[in-house]
Amino acid sequence: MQEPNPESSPATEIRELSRLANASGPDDARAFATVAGRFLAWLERHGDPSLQALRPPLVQALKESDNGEASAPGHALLMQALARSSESLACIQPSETEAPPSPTPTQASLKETAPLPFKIAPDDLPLFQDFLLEGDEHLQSIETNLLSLTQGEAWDVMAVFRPFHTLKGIFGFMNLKALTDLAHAAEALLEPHKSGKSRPTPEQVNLLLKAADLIRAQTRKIGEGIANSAFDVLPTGELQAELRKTLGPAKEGPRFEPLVSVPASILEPVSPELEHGSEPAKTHGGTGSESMVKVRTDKLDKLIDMVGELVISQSMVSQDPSLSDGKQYGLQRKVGQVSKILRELQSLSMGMRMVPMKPLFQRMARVVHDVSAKTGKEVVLQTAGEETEIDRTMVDSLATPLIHLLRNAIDHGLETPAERAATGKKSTGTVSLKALHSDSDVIIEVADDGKGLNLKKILAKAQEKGIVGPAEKLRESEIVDLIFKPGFSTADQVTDVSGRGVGMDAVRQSIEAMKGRVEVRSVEGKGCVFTLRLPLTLAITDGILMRVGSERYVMPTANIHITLKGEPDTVFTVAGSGEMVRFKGEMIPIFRLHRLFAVKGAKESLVEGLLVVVGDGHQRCALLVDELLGQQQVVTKSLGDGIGKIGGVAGGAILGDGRVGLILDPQGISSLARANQTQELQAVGA
Amino acid sequence: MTTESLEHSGLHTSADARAGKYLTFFLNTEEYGLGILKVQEIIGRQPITPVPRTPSYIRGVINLRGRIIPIMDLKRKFDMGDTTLTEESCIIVTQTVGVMMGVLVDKVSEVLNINGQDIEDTPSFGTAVDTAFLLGVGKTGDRVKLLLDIDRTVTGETLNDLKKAAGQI
Repeated sequence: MQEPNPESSPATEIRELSRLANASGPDDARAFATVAGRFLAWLERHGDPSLQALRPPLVQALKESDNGEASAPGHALLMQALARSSESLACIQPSETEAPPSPTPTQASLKETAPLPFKIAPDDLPLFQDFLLEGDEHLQSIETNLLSLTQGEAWDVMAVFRPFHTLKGIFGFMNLKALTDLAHAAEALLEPHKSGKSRPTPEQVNLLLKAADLIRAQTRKIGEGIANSAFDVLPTGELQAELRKTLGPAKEGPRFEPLVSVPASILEPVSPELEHGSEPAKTHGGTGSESMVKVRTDKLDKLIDMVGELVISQSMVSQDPSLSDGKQYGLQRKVGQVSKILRELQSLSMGMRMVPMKPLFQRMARVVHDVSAKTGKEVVLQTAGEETEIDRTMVDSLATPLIHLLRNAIDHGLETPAERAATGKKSTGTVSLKALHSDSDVIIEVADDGKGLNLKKILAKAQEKGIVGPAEKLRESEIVDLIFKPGFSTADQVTDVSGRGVGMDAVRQSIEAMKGRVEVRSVEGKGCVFTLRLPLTLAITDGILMRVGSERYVMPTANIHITLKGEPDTVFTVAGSGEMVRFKGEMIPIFRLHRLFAVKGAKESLVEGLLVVVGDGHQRCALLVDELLGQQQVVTKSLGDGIGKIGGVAGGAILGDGRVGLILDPQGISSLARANQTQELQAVGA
Repeated sequence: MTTESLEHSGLHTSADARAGKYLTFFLNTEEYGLGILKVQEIIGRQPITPVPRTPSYIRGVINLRGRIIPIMDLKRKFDMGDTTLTEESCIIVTQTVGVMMGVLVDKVSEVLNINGQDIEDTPSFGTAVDTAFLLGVGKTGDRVKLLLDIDRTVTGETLNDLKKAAGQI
């Protein structure tokens, strides 16, 4: 175990304590308790004699804050002790307060090039675990506020300063010297702006973002290594040096001032600066004041599952003929009461899966910032509806497509400032990210006011690549659709075609995997809007229940293009075996579901049954079914490990009558049917 | 004398792991035993949803309180014909090596304790009868119980057959 590092951390901690003790907000009290607890734990382990005097008043203060009562004498005692301690600390480490902080480590860390291994002492383990839980919150606050600064919005210097400060304290206790120094350097950079009169330069903001990134990377390293109680410490020397450099030598002085001035600020508890600082803490901590409970997700899923079952069982009870014969009024009323409660319970349990999109949007703000810096285009990001809630399992899968769309919008959609000026637009481009609820869908819009899609170029490129025949006439919407074609986007040349091609098929795929749809609207010269339409939750699939013989299957509504009734003049046989239906000039192969799935007693005639057109591109096919039974929302479940994956079946669902219905997977069915046909043809050939 | 004691000790060690409580059930007229620790519950017969492209002995899937589990027809698996569902038909829900599987049987009989010395290795019938699915033969009273190796029944070949049926092999 390494020696504790009392130079900076106890001093910072004491400063933080005295600040928090003076602040009056409810969140400050909680923060005070946290810091005080941490400090006490530290004191216990490293018995620094000069600081032991702090213990009794701290313990007393903690007890009081636990009980929700603060006594004036106890408070005064604490203040005195804090003041004394920081004075004595200043005496013990004069180098800390007089010379620039830790010049030696700076030089030392400058030499660091490779990550250093670090061992977590068993005693310190909880400290690291806590950090993993809360560290991200601080980083998020730093990022959000720095980004609002770059957008020219009102920003709160304390909301950046304080997290850096807290992180510095935590790193101090964790004995991560390199990180402590980095946080300190960041803090020092912000120090001159604390008055709110000046703002950091864009270059400085970038450096601060980099610092946040480095700390996040370190957090990940700790997360990976915590199981083995060892991880690598990332080198921070270079970034520290850069941070210092931007400050300039003239400003070196004031950043150590607070350390010396701690006693003074304690003597006059209502220091205007501190008061100013404590205000944002309240507004920012506002969301935190709702108390939270962490629950394992598998428990939550199980709960939601069981509620779903309850709903089905209840509907079976309420539909029981002995109840609906009109004689059991009392019982009917009671059952009605139960179903009311159940409905509420169900919406509640569904709500538990939902999380607001705010963190996702914040990540996107960062992407926009980075891309605009890289491309040299001036971009303003407008966001709306970040409180819109979405299934938590979808948040992660949404990040990649959104990053793609935003990157495309800036890189290819927006023009350079010069081009914009030439066309009479504002030199700063606007990209907007909007989320809203509509019926049972979540709609996410990524829009830019750039040049829009260049349809001519897209068409030319598609013809060149052989995706479209040279003589083919396409409607506008069909041309726009070309950007989603796999292969359209494969390589570098796409950038010439107004962009938009890079990985658009990947975007569509990942959205469709979430049972969603992508739509594009583009006006040349005005801009482009991508609309993602997603179901509220992945847990529930909108499906159409259909009958084939004695079996019922569920087809996800999102997969169905249209259902047709076959007419004698629209269905054909090709080469004696393959069957096709003609729809709007397109020849679609017909697959008989009952044959594929060996179901007996189904309708054999193509004209009598219904044709359900599913799938996209070359996977498109029409499935012959007997009839549609209606719409149903279902919860997709696995068929169990005992069976595993089955081609053409996406899973099972418990239907309204309690029986299991299979959910179809159109892609699987299509490839299955094609494989079967090939086999048959081979058999015929042999 | 020597052979007898050798035999006895050999039997003793190998039978020890097999001794214990068994849930017994009938397939046609044969009585089988299933280690009680592998049994999660016994449920009455239920509507079974057939699943296409699975081996014939997978009858389909059922809804077990919100969880979907597959149902295996043991008689089809052992080439003993089809199970006709009657009032006495039961599904024994087993849990082995992480896989939940319902086993369709004609009738559930009782739970009994079979001692080590009452268990014998499965006699070999040559190639005509596959005894790989049996742990051994238990003797209680005048009857013989065929002790089922459910792990092997559920996982071993079944999973392979499933993959074959799904066209993955």
